[in-house]
Amino acid sequence: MSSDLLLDIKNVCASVEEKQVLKGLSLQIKPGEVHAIMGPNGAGKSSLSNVLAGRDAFKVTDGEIAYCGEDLLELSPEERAHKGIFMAFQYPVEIPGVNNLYFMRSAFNAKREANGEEPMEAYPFMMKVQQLCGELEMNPDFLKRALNDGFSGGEKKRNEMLQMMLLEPKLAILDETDSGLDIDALRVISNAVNSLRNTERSFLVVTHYQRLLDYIKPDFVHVLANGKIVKSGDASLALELEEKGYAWINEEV
Amino acid sequence: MQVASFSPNWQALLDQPLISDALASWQKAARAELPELRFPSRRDEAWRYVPHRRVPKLKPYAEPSQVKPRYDHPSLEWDVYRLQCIDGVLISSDVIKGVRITPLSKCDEEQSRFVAHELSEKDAWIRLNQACLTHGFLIEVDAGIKVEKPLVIIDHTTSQVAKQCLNARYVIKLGEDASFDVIMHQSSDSDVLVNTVSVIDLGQRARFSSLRIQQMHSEALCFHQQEVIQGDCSEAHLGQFLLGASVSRDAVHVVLQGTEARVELSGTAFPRTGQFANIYSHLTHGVPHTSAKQQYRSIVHDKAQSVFYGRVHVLPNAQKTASYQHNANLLLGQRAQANSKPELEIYADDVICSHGSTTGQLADDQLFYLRSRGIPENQASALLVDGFAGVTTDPWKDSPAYDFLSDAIALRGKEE
Ligand SMILES: Nc1ncnc2c1ncn2[C@@H]1O[C@H](COP(=O)(O)OP(=O)(O)OP(=O)(O)O)[C@@H](O)[C@H]1O
Ligand SMILES: [Mg+2]
Repeated sequence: MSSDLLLDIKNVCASVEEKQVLKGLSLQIKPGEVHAIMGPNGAGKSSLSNVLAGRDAFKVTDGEIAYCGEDLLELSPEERAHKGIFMAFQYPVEIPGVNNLYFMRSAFNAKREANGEEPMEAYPFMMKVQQLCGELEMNPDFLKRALNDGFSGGEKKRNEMLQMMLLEPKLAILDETDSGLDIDALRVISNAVNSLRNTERSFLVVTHYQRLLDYIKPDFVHVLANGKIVKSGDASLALELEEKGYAWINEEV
Repeated sequence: MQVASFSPNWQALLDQPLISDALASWQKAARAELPELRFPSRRDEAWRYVPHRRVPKLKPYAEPSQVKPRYDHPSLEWDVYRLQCIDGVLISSDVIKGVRITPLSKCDEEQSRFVAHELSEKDAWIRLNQACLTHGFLIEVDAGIKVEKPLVIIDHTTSQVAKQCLNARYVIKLGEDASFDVIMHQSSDSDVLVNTVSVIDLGQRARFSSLRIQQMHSEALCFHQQEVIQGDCSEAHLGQFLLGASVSRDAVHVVLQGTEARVELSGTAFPRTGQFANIYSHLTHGVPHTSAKQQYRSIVHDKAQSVFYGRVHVLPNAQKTASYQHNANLLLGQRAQANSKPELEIYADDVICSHGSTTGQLADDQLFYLRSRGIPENQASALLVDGFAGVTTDPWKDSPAYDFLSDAIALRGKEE
């Protein structure tokens, strides 16, 4: 395994509820790279995201995943988060009764504590989050509400981005964060992602639409179909897909 | 099961001193009746699941020669009035303008007639309370008086009265247009049995709230039966939080007998392993245009049991009744058990009544969401548990006891 990889997925097979969802998937991501994943509905894109984030129900039956040179599959979801993995959910979960701000501070401080840092007090934390809300053009009143409870689709996605900005991950997986966003929100969120781009931080962006990739320029574009990566290329592949759909790839493979 | 089978020396119970001359004949009537009375058992719907076998031998109350006030009570930091009662002895009581607080033993003839109110629910525990009263108060709020700070009633028992049976009665009467808030904190540090009866009488347009937090010793037994009688346009908020005791039953019967009377009830039963907690609510919509909203939850640790029994009665003339009831149960272990029994009896046709009940475990997708953000599993489940109880504590956000209540629930979520 080459040590300059952030993420090295080798031949991973995974299943959920007895259904095989990943069928020998390989993917390598270096620090600082942006990879886009496209592919038909049901291809396994969210399954890949969930496997990376550590959801129990998704069982890896074969293959290996190394993250920062470490065996990722040995780590609990919270440990993965502490080590810098962040998945923005395709369908963020509503949690009534749990205050959004309190949740964010718990998450933020859990990561700090795991990394041997002092937890941040309520007031400075509040200031920090409010500033990030500003960057995301998000009304800070959302912080007072219960986590994602009754949020509109787009509001949930913005709330996911707020968490990403806060937790400053090393590997951010955005599972269809652009779906359901209005045009302004798409711009705001793309700007937020771009502002986080640096030589250390990598992104895995799952999307159905080329338009997002106009804003967030990927280094690589992959097509995921039937549980594996069937084609990879540069940004131009996305344009080709937009034009031709996925059928031609199936013929090629 | 009769009192004799609970207690080999039940005669000693009945030989306890009477609380006052003014209440003597009323108490004696109950003493005459008691030996023949059958205590509620699994045959009685309202007491069905209560583990009667765990009711200990009833040992009479002996007033300790010395009682010390609690200097560590959380309410000392709140901006409230306080009434402290330790081991059945009144220690101190703040003076509140327009409010008379009279120990039952000092009630005059007229006051005693009110104290001797006959509850519409009748059972041997209520009779026992009447026969063997150990302590309690009549609190009268004059018409038009709006008491701006809540009264905290501290009812605490120490190991001095371990294993004894205490019977308390709190009678609260609000005149027309009065406004009054009570926070009732019941605690103990040993295995007592406390059998309490509360009677609340609300005059026209009176506004009342009672937040009851029960944190008894894990071996204690705690029965509480409360009757609330509401006059025209009165408003009541009642909270029941069962956060202790081995066996705990908290019953409330609200009689909406004045038009436009409103009541909101909320509460959480939170039994730990091996414990039993039962919330029983009974609403009688007796006249047109009354409304009620009930929000009850239970959180049940492994090998613990909760029971919610919610009865709504709408009498034939009570048109335009609006009554809403919801109960949700969260099971924290494979062998946790929650029973939920809504019972609607509606005899009027123009009413809006609804009820709903759910029982489930912590949701996997919620747990994963929190963990994927770095929140460790135990902390994530504690957050979800707090969040689950949140609907029942939210109505108490403005109470000075709110943080204390939330912390007490959070702590209970973490303890196991
Ligand atoms: N919990 C589950 N139980 C059973 N099948 C599942 C489960 N989760 C996913 N699947 C199935 O696995 C396959 C892959 O699903 P996945 O969500 O990964 O697709 P996707 O590529 O993200 O699709 P989309 O573009 O629609 O989001 C689908 O056929 C789906 O029905
Ligand atoms: Mg998906």
